[in-house]
Amino acid sequence: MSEPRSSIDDALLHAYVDDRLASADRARVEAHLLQDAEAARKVEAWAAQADALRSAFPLDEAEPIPASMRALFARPTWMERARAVAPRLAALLLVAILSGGAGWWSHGRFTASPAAGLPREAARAHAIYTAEVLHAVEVPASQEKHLVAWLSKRLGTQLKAPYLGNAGFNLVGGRLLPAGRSDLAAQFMYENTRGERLTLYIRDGEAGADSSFRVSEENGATGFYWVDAGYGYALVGPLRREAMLPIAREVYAQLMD
Amino acid sequence: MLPFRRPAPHAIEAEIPRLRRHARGLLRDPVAADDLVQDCLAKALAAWQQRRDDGALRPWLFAILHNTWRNRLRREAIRPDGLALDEEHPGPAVSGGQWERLELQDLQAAMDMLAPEQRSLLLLIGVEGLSYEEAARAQGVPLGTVMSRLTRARERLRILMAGESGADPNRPRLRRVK
Repeated sequence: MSEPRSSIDDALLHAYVDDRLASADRARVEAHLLQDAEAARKVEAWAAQADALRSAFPLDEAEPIPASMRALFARPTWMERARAVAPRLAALLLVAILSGGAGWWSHGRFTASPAAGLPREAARAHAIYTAEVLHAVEVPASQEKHLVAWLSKRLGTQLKAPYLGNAGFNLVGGRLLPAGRSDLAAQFMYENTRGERLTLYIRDGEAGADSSFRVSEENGATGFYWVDAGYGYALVGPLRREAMLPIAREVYAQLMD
Repeated sequence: MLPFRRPAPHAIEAEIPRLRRHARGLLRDPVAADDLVQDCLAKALAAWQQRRDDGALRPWLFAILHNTWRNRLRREAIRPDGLALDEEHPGPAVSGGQWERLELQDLQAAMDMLAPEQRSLLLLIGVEGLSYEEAARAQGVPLGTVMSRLTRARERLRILMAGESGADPNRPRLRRVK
């Protein structure tokens, strides 16, 4: 015998169509549908609708997520921090250009600049070690954690190797160097697929006050350098100033965070 | 300071494909749909810290998407230049490869004639597989409302589909797609 109609209500029929019923309830509904042609037609139509909807909206997990959505989840180190320091950097860069970036060489020689010798040392270390094919670095990027821990310990500050993958440069590795005035320097080396190499030179023992962002150009290499909290930083590479600037900004944003 | 490391993806990120699918079902125009999802994601991230961990992530996100969509509907109802939902501007003829089959075009036409909340509910339950309770939470209405709304939506769709085909209203025109 069929159950009284009222005991099989629409809610139960929906749950049957949507497959949300336990087997006992399912059997109960099925038994009822055999007796109630109207309910059976309803259920058949609803199920067909649900199937058609499902096939109209397949889930495409492989579809690329728009960049604007991905950007919402990007780590703040990237976009936001760079954007946060950009106005400051622009001001610093303006100062650097006005003060005559190309004149840093003589500037460093004749004045007690806080970054005295920094660009020259960084540029020399860059020239020497980027020319090496087999021994460009002391510790390779495969041991990045060890490399950073070691250099941090020797320089007495927590360093990090900035991530420059977005600019196409990957970490090759790094080394420890002697620096002027009996101090130490660390060098991180990066390389892109064209074989161009950048070095980030970090020197301790900077006596002077924090300095602005300065630029130097020498023998086809561009250097951006600054002093912060007793450490001198220089990013040196074979790119032109305009190409180096966004990378320098990135390094600055990551290191000065 | 630590060496830069790629962070683990945010839990919300895994839900993006579903949110986009649902938004396309609501809006049809994929560009407008992505715009809606963008809004929804920004709100979800802003509310992430305040989120009480008393429910599944998915219904929570769908509730935000639903609210964002409702607010837009309200705004567009006021502003005459809000054309995104205008019948005369249905967006691309084939949206994201959907609806290409004939019976799906019929379904689309019928879906467009449902009340927005009904259309949303059919998608939440039929496509996204939310439970009735979760759908109620997403739509911000009691469970009873969801059940009666579901009946109205399915019955209206049944009549629309049958009427369009000119066939016996009791014979569903849709074939089961297996």
